[in-house]
Amino acid sequence: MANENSEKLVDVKNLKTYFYTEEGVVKAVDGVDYEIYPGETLGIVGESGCGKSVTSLSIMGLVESPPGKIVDGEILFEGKDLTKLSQAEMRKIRGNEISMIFQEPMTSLNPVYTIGDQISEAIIIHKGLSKKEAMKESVEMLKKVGIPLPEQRINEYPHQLSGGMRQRVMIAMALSCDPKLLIADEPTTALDVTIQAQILELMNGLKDSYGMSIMMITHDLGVIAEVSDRVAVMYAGKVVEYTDVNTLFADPKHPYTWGLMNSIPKLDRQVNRLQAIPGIVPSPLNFPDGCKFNTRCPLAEGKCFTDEPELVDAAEGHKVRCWRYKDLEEMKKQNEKIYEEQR
Amino acid sequence: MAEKLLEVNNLKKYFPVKAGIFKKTVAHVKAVDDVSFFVNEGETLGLVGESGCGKSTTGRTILRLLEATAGEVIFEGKDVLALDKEDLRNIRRDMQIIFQDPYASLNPRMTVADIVGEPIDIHNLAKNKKERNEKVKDILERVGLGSEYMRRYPHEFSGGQRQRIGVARALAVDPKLIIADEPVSALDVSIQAQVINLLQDLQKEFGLTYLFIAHDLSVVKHISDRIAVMYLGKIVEMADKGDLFNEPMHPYTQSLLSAIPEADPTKKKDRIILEGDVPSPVDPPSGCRFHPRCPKAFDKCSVEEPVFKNYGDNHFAACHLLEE
Repeated sequence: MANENSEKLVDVKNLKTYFYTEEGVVKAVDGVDYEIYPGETLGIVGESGCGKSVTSLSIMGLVESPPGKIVDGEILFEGKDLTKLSQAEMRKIRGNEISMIFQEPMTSLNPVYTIGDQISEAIIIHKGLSKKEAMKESVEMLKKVGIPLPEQRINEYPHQLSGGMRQRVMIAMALSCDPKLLIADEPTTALDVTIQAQILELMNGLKDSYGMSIMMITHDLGVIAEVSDRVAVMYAGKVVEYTDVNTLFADPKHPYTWGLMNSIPKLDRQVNRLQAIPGIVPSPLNFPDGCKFNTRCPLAEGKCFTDEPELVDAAEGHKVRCWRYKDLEEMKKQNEKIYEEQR
Repeated sequence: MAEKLLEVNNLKKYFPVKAGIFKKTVAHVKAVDDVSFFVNEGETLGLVGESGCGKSTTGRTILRLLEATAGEVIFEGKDVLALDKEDLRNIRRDMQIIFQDPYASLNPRMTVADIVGEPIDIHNLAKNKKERNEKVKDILERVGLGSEYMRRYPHEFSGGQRQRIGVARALAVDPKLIIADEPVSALDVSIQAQVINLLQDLQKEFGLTYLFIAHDLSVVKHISDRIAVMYLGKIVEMADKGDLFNEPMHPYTQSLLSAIPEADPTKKKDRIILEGDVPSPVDPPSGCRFHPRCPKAFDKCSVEEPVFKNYGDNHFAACHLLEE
């Protein structure tokens, strides 16, 4: 669990990552702040194009430049500002102290090398072991991520494995150098539910045994609820709500978070009609003035269309970026009344 | 009692696996292997299962987008699989499909008016161009797209809007049955709800019957009246959605339901985590196909295939444990 007193592992301050394209400047990440403490899981949730993946690529130093560029802000990892490091210094951190797993394991694995070659490559580079020792270590890693018959699997190629097994291999590779932070970008989105359950359980178990922190990026509120300690909700390049997971689900304060939760069907709450968020996410080339959610927000009025709200403390440890979050309470009550009547 | 609009009996679809220079058939992928179910008029039957279980193949075989290996598909008393080309074209007016990927299923070189109007032309449903365009306009408005979009091309639309175009095209011929093959899984969460609401509104308005194919159990529960669960080419359980969720009979359904991550962090679920992966449909396990992963399997399961039986209230399941 997060320990508020302990030293922050990651401290992202006012991060801005822009892409300079022919059509204009895409402000993919536009002033994002969050921190990750040792041993905790920070969930980052949002829909496509909200900038959740670009924040993680910025931490890894993997934003392609050009067209991308970190134009402002700091990414402090154990006190060091990663945005100021050289490529060579970054290489020492990447894979060693911060690892990443992606959505589609097949595109992240090299199809012409065996599983063993690929895991041991990382071990040889970062730990300086011999090939033979590294292979032995790879077998150990495969055992830890629950791959049956690791001695055989190590000589197989990625196409011989199922999707769930490939994601396990990716996790084994990511953990082979004992990272302090694991960034998981939609790690279970391409997997079936029963396999997703296996992978989430594995990740939770490994987090505890390795004592590492996880940054879990996903669009799935169910996955967020399952694994996160704290959650940042992103919309149009900004964090709009930031708090611990129980508070977020019990008392969402931003109309977007609330809208997202209402728009998914729930197993224990049958409604006749889902409450969809109207409209679509605005194009990053053409964001509206004021609050970026104003085109879809049921509460938007006056100020919302002219001034952009700051991320403010709505309660102890509960930050929200909205002018009218207090007025959401009334709307929640009405909504609950309608639900009761429907039943 | 509602009338059965669609009845599928012992449907099989095997794909040959060919090898060698003479392309000899060496094995078969049994994608759909002896599947039977029915859909009542005006209801929504949800067909769920994990990837590779044969749910999409079932949908396509019903429409004869794929030719079945064996079985019957009875639609309004006629066996669709036995129809000749002419009759098949006529019956397709009444059975339409909506695909998963709104990016891949619309022709990028056609305007929206032509995409939606094409089925009207094929079935000669409009006397002249003017009437056809009136129809297209009308349908587009029904699915929440204004007539100003008629001359635009698919790339100018967002994912949710494209799926609306796909729905409009299916509706253009005034069908009775719509097979929706993962219609919302490629869409963002907030847009999913918009499309689901649209499908439900249209069902009410036009009295449509849906076969709703999806892997997302919460979505299927929301939209369906009854649900059939598939595993490796077979239906293992079928029941009213309330019965299925409250009293799942088959161990696979039980573990599938327990695996759904719920958007409620206070809930700690008793997960039944299945071991291993879904086996290959080329060489499915003997007996019950679920037995290698089943936490409750016993001797009989690997030898004898369980029968798909009605255990009361139209709650069907295929499992040896239930017969004890």
